[in-house]
Amino acid sequence: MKSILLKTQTITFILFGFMFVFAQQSMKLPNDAVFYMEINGKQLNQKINWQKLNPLLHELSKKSKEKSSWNDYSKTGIKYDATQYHYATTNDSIKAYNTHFIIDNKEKFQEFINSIKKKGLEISKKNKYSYVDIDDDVFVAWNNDRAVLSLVSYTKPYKDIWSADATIDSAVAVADSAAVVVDSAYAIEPELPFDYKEEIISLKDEIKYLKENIKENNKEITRIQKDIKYLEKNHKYPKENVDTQHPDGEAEVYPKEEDWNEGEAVVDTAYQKELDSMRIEEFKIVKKIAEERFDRYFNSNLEIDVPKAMLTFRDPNSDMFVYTDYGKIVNDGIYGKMMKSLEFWQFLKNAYNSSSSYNLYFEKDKVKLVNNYQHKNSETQKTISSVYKGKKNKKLAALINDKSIGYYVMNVNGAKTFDMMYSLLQDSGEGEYKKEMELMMETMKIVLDEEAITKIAPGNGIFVLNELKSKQVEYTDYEYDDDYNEKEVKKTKDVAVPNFTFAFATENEGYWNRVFNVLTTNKHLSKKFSKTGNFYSFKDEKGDGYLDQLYFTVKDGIVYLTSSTDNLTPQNQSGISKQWAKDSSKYPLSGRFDIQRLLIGLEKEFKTPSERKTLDLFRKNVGEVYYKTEVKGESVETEMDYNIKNSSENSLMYFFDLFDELYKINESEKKPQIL
Amino acid sequence: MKKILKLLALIFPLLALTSCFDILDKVNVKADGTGEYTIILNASKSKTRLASISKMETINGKKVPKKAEIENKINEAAKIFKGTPGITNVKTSMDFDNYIIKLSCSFRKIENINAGLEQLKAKNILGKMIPTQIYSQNLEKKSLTRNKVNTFKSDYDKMGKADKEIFNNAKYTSVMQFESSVKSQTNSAYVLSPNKKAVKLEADILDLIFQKKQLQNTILFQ
Repeated sequence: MKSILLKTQTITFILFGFMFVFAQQSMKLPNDAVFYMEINGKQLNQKINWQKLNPLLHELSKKSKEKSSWNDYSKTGIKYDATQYHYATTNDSIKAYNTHFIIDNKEKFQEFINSIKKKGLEISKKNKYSYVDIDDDVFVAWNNDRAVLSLVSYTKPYKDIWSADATIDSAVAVADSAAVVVDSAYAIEPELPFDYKEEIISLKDEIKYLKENIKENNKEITRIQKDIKYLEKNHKYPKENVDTQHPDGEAEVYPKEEDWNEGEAVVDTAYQKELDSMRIEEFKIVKKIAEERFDRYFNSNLEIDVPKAMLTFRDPNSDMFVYTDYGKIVNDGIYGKMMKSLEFWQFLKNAYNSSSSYNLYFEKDKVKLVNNYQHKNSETQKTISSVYKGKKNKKLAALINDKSIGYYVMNVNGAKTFDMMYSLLQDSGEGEYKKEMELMMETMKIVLDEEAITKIAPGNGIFVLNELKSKQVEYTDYEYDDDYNEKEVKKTKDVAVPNFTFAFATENEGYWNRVFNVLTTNKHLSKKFSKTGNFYSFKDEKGDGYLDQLYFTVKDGIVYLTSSTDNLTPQNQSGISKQWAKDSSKYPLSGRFDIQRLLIGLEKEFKTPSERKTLDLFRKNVGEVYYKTEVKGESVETEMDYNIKNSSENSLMYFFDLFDELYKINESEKKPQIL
Repeated sequence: MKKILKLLALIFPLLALTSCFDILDKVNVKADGTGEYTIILNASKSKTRLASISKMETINGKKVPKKAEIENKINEAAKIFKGTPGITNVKTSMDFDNYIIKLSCSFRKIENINAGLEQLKAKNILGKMIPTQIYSQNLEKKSLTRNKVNTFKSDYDKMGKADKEIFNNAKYTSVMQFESSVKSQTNSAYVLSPNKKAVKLEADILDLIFQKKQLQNTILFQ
C-alpha cells in the first residue's frame, strides 16, 4: 500500500513537473520595443458609428491601386470590442510594427484577407497558424481566434561609419547569403526542429513569388529599354514628355505601342536576374523575420507579457494607451550612432534617457490626452520635478480674459532650472570625461550668479494673444495700358497683426528700468525707442511689419511687453475666465487656445473660393485647446483637452466627420466645373 | 489635401502666412532687331511678411540674405550684363521698402539677352534650372520666337513644403512689344494688343511649372 502511495506520489510530481516545464508561457515583449500601444476595443467600438465610417472607408479604398471589394468594415471577423496590442521594434537592421488582435469569426476574417491580398497568392499553412503576405512587407497570420499583422522592413546592416570599432552589429547574425536573420534580441529563443514539409511549402511559395516578380520586372525593364532605344535613335526624349500643349502635328511623339513590340524580345537577362534576386533576397529576409515572430507568438499561450515599467501610467479607462521609450528611440537610432563619435555623447545620452506614456480619451464633447514624462534616472527626475514647483503669481493671471484667443502661463522655479541643467549634463556613470565635466559644472556655478539671475526673472511668465487685428497696408502693383506699357499703381490690402501681451515677474525692477532707460537714451537706439509717462515704447517708422509699435513697462514686480497699452487695463473676468486664472496660478504650465477665434482673425488670408469653403468648415467645427502641466508622483503630467464644437455623436466621430467633409471639398475641386 | 495642409500651416505657426511675388519679363523689339529688355521682381504684396523675415537670421532652415548681400548680387549681375557683347545701357534699381528689384538693358540683337543670362548662369548668379536660350529672331523671315523651356517640375518636386508655398500665388507676366504689327502667333495664350504691336501672357508660376500654360510662341510680323 505504501509503495502504491509512493508510486502515485512520484507519478503526480513527475506529471506536475512536466506541466510546469512544458506549459506554454506568454510571449515577452521584445527587448528592442520602443513603442507599445493598447487599444481599448470595448470602449472604442461603442463610440464608432460604422454606418458613417463604412462609406468613407469604401471611398478611400477606391484610391488604392488594388480596389477592395469589401463593403462592411464592421464585419471583418475581427473582434473590435476586444483589446488590441500594438508594438514597434527597431534595431540596426530591422524595423517592425506588430498588431495583435482577436478574431471572432475565422471564416469571415479569411474572406476579408482574401479580399485584400494579391490575387492568386495562396495562404501558407503552418502547424499552429496560417499566414499570407498582403504586401511585400506586410504579413498577416491567424489561428482560430487570434491574428497578428506584421509590417517588417529590413535594411542591410551598414558599416557604422560613426564608430571606429564599428563593424559589429546584429547583422553579424545574418547567417548566409540567403540572409537568415536572427535578431540579436531574440537569439536566446530555442530553435524549432526542422520540418521538411513546411520547408517545401515555403519553397513553393518562393517560386510563386519569383514568378510574380519576374513578370513585374520584365515589364519595367522593357519600358526602360524602349526609352534607351528611342534615345539612341533620337538623342532626346519624345516631346510628349515635356510638351503637353502641342501634341498635334508634331512628328516627334512617342511611337505607338505596337511599334515598340519589335524590341520587346530583347531583355537584359543579367540585369533582370540581379534585380529579381535583390528583391527576392529582401523578401525572403522579411518573410523569415515575420515567420519567426509568428512562430514565437503562436507557440506561446497567446498573451503578451509587457514589462511592468511600461504600464506604470496606464489607465484602464482610457481608450488608448501608448508608451514610448524616448531614450531608446534617440540613443539607439541614427542620431545616437552619429553622436557616439563625439566625446561628450555620454552627457547627452543621459539627458535623453526618458520615456513618455500617453492615455487618450474620446469623450462626448472633448478629446483628452494625458502625457506622463519620466526620466529613467530617479534623481534626475526629482530635479526636473523641482523645476515645476514654482511660486504662484496672481498678478499675471489678471491678464487672462474671456475675449482673448489664447494664453500660455508658466510658473516654474527659475533657480532649479540651473540644477536641472547640471543634473542632465552630469554623467551618471564613470565616463571618460567625468572629472572634466564636473570641473566645467563647478566653473559654471561660479561664473553664473544663479541667485541674481533668478531675481531678474524668477520663472513666472504669461503670453496672452488678445486678438488678430486687421491692418491696411499699401503695396505696389503693375497695370498695363492698351499697348502693354506697365504702370506702377498703389493698392491696399488687409493683413492680420497680433495684439498681445507678454509679461513676467521680476524681483529686480531696477535692472529692467535700467535696460529700458538705455534703449531710450542710447545714440542709435533712441531713434526708435522713447518714453511717455510710465511706458517705454518702440516704433518702427516704416510701419510695414507685423509689430510696428511695442510698449514696455515695469510695475509692481511685473515686466510688461505689449502691442497696446489698453491690454494692461484690468478686465472683468467671467466664471470661466476666473477658472482659467485660478488654474494659471495653480499649475506650473497651463494654457488655452481658441482656434475658432484665430481663424476669424485670419479670415482675410483666405481668398480663393475653395480656401473660403475650407475656412467656413473649420470655423464651424474647430474647437478649443486647453492644457495644463503638473508634477504627479514621479512624473511630469500634461493634460491636453480639445473641446469639439459640432453635432457629432462623440469626439471620435468628430474627427471622422471633419475628415469626411474635407475629403468631399477636396474631391469637388477635382471635378471639372460646369459653367 | 494640399489645401488642408496649407490651412494647417496657417493655423499653427501663427505668422506663416503665404507670401507671393510677381515677375514681369518685358522685351521691346524694333524692326532692325535692336531693343530693350526689362525684368522686374515685385514682392510688394508680401512686404509685411518680408519686413518681418528680413529681421530674422534664418527661415525654413535657410539663411535670410541681408540687404547688402542682395545689392551685391544684383550689382554683380549688372556688371556681367554690361560685359556681354551687344548689351548696353544696363540699369538696376532696388526698392527695399516695397521689395521691387528691376534690371533693364538695351540689346543689339535679342540673342544677346540669352548670352547675358548664360553668363549669369556660368557665374552661379542664376540657378541651373533657369533657362537661358529664351529668344531667337529671324529678321529675314520677320519672325521672333520665344523658345520652349523645359519643365521645372522635377526641381519643384524636390523642394520642401515650405519652399513650395512661396510659389502658391506667384504670378508671371511676359510682355513683348514690337515696332512692326503682328501677323500671326502660335500660342493663343498670349493676348494681342488692340494696335497689334504687343502681346502679353499672364500666368500663375505654378501653371508654368506644371506646364498647364506654355511660354513658347513664334510671332510672325507683317
